[in-house]
Amino acid sequence: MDLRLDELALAVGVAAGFEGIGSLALWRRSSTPLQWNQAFLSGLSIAAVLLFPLTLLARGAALRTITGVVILSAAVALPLTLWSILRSVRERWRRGVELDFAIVGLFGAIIGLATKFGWENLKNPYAWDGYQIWATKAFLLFTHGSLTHDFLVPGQYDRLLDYPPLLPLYHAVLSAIRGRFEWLALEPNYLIFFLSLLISSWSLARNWMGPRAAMFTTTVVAAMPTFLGFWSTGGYADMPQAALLIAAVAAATQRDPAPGRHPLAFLLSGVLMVKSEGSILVWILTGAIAIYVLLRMRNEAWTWLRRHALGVGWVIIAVAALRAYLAWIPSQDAMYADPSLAGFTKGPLVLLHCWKHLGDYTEWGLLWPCFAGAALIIWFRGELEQKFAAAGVMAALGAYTVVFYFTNWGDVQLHIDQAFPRLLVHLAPIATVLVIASVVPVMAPAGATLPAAEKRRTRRNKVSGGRGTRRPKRARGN
Amino acid sequence: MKRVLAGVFATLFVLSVAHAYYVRVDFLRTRKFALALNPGHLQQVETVRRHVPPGSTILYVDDQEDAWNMGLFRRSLYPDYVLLPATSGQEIRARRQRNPRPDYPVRGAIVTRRYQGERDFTVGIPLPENSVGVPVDLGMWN
Repeated sequence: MDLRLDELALAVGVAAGFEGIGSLALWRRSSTPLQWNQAFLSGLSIAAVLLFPLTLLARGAALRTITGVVILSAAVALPLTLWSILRSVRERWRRGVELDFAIVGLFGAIIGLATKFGWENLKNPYAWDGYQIWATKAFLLFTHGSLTHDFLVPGQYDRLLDYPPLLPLYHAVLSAIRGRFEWLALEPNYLIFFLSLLISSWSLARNWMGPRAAMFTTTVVAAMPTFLGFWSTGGYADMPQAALLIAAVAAATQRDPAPGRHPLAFLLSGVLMVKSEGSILVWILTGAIAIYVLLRMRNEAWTWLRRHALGVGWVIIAVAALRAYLAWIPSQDAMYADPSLAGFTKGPLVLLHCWKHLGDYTEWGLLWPCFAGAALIIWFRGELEQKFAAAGVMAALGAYTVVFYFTNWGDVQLHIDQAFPRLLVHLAPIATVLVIASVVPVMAPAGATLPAAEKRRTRRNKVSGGRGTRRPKRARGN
Repeated sequence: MKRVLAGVFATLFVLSVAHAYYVRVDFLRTRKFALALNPGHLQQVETVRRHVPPGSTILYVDDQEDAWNMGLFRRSLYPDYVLLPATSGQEIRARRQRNPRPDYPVRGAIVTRRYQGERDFTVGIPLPENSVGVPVDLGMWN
């Protein structure tokens, strides 16, 4: 089997270029995998947002411009990042490392699962979406050097034009550096998104639990493609959408963000730029953040807004860029825009059929019933951030169900069967983290101090001398 | 009690992952996947390119709408050719008389062998076999 190591190395190099752009935007140098991941996703998101304005300004040179910046950025960022990581590892080694065999074992399992993902990803040929949508959009970007009104037939609208450009951009930059287009070169990028997904899962889990439980959670997420099979591999965009979504949620709930700018705004713009459903997710995320700020900050909400004005502005620019691109095509939403088909009988049909998928053991095991239980536990005993995350997942589940009410497919069930399980892929990693986060305090030995509780206590002690933007949380036993 | 529960849960998880892992790896090891752009398809495209001048519209003629196979040819022939579908003799005539892209004149057609409808090509060229795709031939008008 051809492992296509040259493509993989090039994909890593392009990722390093995006990481450099992200580091510059975040105004920091990455010295940990988490920081590298945030910078990479931020840089990629920024490039995806700027692609349409560049298309208007530079016409056919938009891709060349971004590729040039990526090459330059990789040349500068890669040695700096490697040096930072090496220095950070050396310092930790000097301080002494205590090996936890449970963590080492789980880490080994994650490596095995990631290797299997890489193999499966390279071996699976593209099916419909991978070939006919994502690789084709990259091919068009590569051929024209910018976004285009035409999708293969000049002058004829195709609904596939509506899909946002983040993934095709990555593929097209890789092809531009290579000098030729290779249809299957999307696959090496997928392995990088999968590793990004795992790093973000670890990061989100660490916000709420200790290292052992967090590593276990990451292992469960790493095992998902093994259980789910085809949806995570084969060139579908749902796994990268999940990677960006969980990265955004992890950044939003991160307690000790690295110095520099907060990456959340860039990550939100990335969520918007992967798939059309990203717009729904960004609405939910921004709504949750707004409510959280109002609840926690109250009178200081205005101060918070002023402090994060750049970030808020960036998200608005990203939304405007996407809307402008859709108007430029011009988009004709043909799939979810026929309310005349909606009727009283269609509602329960949609609801029941979506629920059937949520409870289908062969598709998801017990994940979604467990998530329902976890949401209840979190409601009564969870932390505020967990409540927001769980409510966000439930809101997204509701939104993903409701959209099928407006489908113009004659066979609604067929549409749900084809699309709904893949939409659930976006939410599954966050749901997994929440399920384990809800159980960890219950399973902890009596008297054990959990990291979250420990951090809360530290914060309470510090709060009098802090910046005063967060209200101390009421003490609550685990 | 909690430790026992955690142990049971962890063991069940490890066993189920190991089982799923084995099943998937075995599936991947034994299954032969066919690439969308397999050698047979690429040879067909090469033959079409040899006979039809670039800057032409080519029709994809089939009894039924087959978005996958038409999509493969459409992508492989882009951007030198425009590929448009036609499902009947009447549609072929209409496409030739009222071509939506006059700058890309209709010069040929990729015709599936299952197509039973009317045809008026002056030249017929058999295309190489493709073990995965629908068998097709090339039809041309002088």
